[in-house]
Amino acid sequence: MVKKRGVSGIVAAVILFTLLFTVGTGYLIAINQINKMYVNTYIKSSEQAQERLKENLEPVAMLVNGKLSILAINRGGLPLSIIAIMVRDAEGVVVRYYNVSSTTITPRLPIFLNPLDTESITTDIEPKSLQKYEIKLLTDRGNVFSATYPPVKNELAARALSSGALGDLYLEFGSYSYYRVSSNTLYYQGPAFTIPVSFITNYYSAFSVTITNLNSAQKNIILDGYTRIFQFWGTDQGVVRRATWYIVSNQSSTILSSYTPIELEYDRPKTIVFASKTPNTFTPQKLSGDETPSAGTLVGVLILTHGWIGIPYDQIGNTTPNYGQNSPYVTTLYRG
Amino acid sequence: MRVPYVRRRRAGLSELVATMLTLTLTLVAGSAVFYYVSARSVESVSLYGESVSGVISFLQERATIVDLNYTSNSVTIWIYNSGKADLEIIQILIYDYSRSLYYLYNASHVIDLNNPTNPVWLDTNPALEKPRLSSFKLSPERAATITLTIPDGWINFVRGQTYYVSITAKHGNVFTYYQRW
Repeated sequence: MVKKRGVSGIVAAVILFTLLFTVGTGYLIAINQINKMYVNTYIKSSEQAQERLKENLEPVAMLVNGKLSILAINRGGLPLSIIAIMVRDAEGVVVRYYNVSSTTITPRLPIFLNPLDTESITTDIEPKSLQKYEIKLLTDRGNVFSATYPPVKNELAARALSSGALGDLYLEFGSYSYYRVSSNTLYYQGPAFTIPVSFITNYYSAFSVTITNLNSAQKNIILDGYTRIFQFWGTDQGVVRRATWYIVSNQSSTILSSYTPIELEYDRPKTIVFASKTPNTFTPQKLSGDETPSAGTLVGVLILTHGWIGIPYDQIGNTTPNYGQNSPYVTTLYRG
Repeated sequence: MRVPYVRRRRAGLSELVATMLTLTLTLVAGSAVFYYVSARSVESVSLYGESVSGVISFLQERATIVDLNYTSNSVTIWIYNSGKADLEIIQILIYDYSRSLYYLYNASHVIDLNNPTNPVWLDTNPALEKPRLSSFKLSPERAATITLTIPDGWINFVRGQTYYVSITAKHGNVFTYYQRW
């Protein structure tokens, strides 16, 4: 009798394998997909958290043309986006909340800043005297960066040391400009770091500079008519060669004939003009040939300020000036 | 020549029936095992999926409390959804350092946790929670305010004090912030 080997064992093995394969593979695929989702979300969440930590925005609140402005500097390693700005007063009341639909802020939100980019943001808030504000900037990653106005003292000190203040006056170096004066009108010529010698001898000239009173006690400063810009270079028979332009009062580009003391309120930038040969009364200044530095001379420029500090404006007539400061400022190259 | 007699083996019916029965039993048992294991597998995957989904929701739930604005009997919370999922709030705790003021706002009540037996029903005092937490939902990259008012007769906020706000979100995150009035 021929005994044939049965195939049932093989069939059973195939069926068993199919069963295990079907269930096992489906299970593994499903678990794998879930794990993948979890890992992806975890990675994204971790990245988001890390990016949040890397974000570093430095806001500095200041006053520009009477409006509360914020200078925002991206000091972090990643681009960021400012999506909302909140301004609160000292009482904690929200004065303004700006978001992407606000039209009274320049530039409009959101504001994108690459690393080390700077943006000057101007609000429509005109700060009241002695009113303090807190400004909060919200980024799309959820970080909040804040600044106060007026800046706190250590912030002011940092600004002063990093930029242009010695003593009470903060000088904006880039604002140093020169003008041609015709009759009593100022005509802007450009930055005054380099000036043709011929200009200074052929035309009546003037200078301007923007300064900010950053007195640490937040006192006002009033400048009298002896405030001047002073240029000096070399010596002639033992005497320092120099030229002086006294401060003048002006209305826009028109110089007024007599000088009225100018008040520098705390943290309010002011552009002052120097155009006169004599103090207090406007006398146009044109240097003669022998008064002028020769071509190629680099002259030192000082701002000599004088007047009152911490005195109400209406009382300066009865008060002896109690303020004076000599600010080493910039240089001007007179070229041929 | 005589041909020897060979008895031919004839397959019996009983063997066929036995084979059929064995096959049927095997298939039925196999199918039963298959469906049982498959069902357990689906159940297990489903449970695991739900668990992971919860963790994913937890990871996607992020918020920043931007600011608190006080009046003597209310606080407005400015909140920004910095996550990737809608933000829903389960409860908000407000307290001071000493917990002498210690209030809980949830979807239905305001509870003074120093006197929890007398909760205030929000259904009868809906103005205490604006908007109601039960309907609050904030999309990602959106900001909103929630104003919570202290019920009459309870301890109010005092100027100069620092208050803490602790928000518990739907997926288990807790966002805490404090600010001086």
